[in-house]
Amino acid sequence: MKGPPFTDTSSDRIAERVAEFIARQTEPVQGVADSASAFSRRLTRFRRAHRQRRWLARGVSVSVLFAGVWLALLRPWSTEHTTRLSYRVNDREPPDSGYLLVPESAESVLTFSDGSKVSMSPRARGRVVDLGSSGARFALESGRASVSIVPRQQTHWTFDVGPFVVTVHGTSFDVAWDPAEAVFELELVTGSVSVTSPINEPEIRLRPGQTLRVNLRDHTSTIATGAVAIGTAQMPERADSPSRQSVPGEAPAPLPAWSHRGWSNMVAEGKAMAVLADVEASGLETVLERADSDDLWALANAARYAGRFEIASRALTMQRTRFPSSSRSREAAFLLGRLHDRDSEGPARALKWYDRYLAEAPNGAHVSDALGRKITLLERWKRRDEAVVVAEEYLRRFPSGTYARAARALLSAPTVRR
Amino acid sequence: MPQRIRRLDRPLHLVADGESTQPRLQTDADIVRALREDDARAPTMLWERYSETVRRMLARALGPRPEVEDIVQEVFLRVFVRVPSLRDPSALRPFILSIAGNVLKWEIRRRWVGRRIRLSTTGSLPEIETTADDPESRQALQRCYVILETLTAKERMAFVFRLMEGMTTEEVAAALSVSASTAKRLVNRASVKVAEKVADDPGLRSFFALSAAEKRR
Repeated sequence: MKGPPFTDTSSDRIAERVAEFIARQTEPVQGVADSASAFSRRLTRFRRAHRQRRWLARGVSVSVLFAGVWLALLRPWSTEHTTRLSYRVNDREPPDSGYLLVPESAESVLTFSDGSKVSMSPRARGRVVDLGSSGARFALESGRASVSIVPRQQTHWTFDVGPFVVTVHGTSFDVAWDPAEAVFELELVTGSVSVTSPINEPEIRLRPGQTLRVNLRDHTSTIATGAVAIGTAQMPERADSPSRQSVPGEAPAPLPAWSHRGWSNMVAEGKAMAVLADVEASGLETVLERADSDDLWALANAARYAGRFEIASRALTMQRTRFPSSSRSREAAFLLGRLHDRDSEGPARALKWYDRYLAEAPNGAHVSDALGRKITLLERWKRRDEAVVVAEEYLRRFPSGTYARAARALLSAPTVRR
Repeated sequence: MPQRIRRLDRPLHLVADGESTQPRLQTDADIVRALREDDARAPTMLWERYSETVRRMLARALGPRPEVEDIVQEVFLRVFVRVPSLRDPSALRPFILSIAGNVLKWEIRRRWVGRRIRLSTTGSLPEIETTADDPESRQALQRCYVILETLTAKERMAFVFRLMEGMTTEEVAAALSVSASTAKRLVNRASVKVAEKVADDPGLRSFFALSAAEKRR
């Protein structure tokens, strides 16, 4: 049964009564003496655990401190990886434009801050396109470059060599691009690189000691080991043709090495026909694809002496394709000019080869002849104004040369406006 | 040869045989200083001086149960840990009561949660120990704690501190870490709730009415 409600005053009184009753009834259940000894034991245990926790905390603090010191020591390493690379050209500040045109007399060496080096050969052209923290992008427009990249955990070096893209995985290699001939050549020394070609897909991965040569003009690609060609692939015109799938992403299986024939001696002994007979016995295509530089050069000369100009032209072209950085390659350009000197359809091809030779070997042994042949060709095809320009250059460089009299005669002719 | 007399720079203190020559810990500030200096006597002195107060307060708030002793020890262990942070060494008592209040608050909440989730499906309280001889008083005490369990932790503590321990409103406020006006409001609210619950319980109503009549006589 519920009683009448309490007023505030009465509720205070009731609460006080309840409190007083509880307080009276709740006496301590344990004596102070007993509790003191129990507490003393617990305090001892607590202090021991407290000390252990403190030591643990100190240990953790020391570990954190060491970790901090360790990270601080690593900081230079991380900074190295986060700062952009810089470079110098021949120990000097690079040009503002970044464009490098190497003079004829000496090569230019680009030294990057991570120790990597790019040596550009005389007359090479290129530029550093971009610099990052883990690498750079370099564009080689023309000429040859020797590259040595310091291998690190993460490197991103890319070389745009003409229309080719060479991705570097920490390596050293020589790379060349001839825009006139549309010939790309890469010789890998150490490490590995991947080459993306405008006519090859997927990318070609090279192993140390391999040399890749790609001729965009006649769509030939060769992967060779050392100086010996080990495989040649005819590249198809269409990207989706079945044969394109066989273009190697990896190096093809090596073919038997070329056995040197010593045809140079036979040519020197006047046995050009014997050389040609030997070539026909071996198969012209096989010889063109596999012969070493000496034999290929001998074949070109034997064919020229024997009047087999078609074979000579192919041998010289192959010489340039397979050995583009050799001195014979430059000389082949001059000889190809000579082979086309009498083309009935016009001087274009001959002039193109002479110009190529003059560009590749501006101080070569055949410069005088190349300039003289150009004067003769241009005069023959009634291109007197162009002939006059070449004649002036000829007289400036070879005032007493074989073609000096002809050049002067051209310049003194009344029809020429000086 | 006459001996040299050395003059002491402090007064001589005579002690009985076997008595410690160390200065006695007479004030709260002495105890705090001794605790900070890791004096071996300090824990005992602290315990002797304040354990009874803390035990009584906890027993009244929670009911006289054996586990109260554990909670008293827990309060003093916290005092040892926190005593370096005590700014005014003479304020040791409110410092201890404040820590006891915190421990008590968490214990009340822990019990409330425990009853809800696992200890008792009926929500009834366990038996409490009492020194009362007569069964009627024991039953009344049991039902009083049932009423206290209906208060919030702060209301219950305010009720115990103010009406059982006789603390001033300011002391209650300090122990509960609230303002004086909030402490007063908590005490009033707890008193009204307790009175209403007692009024709703015919047994308690008659028990306390009888007690009042006896008291008046």
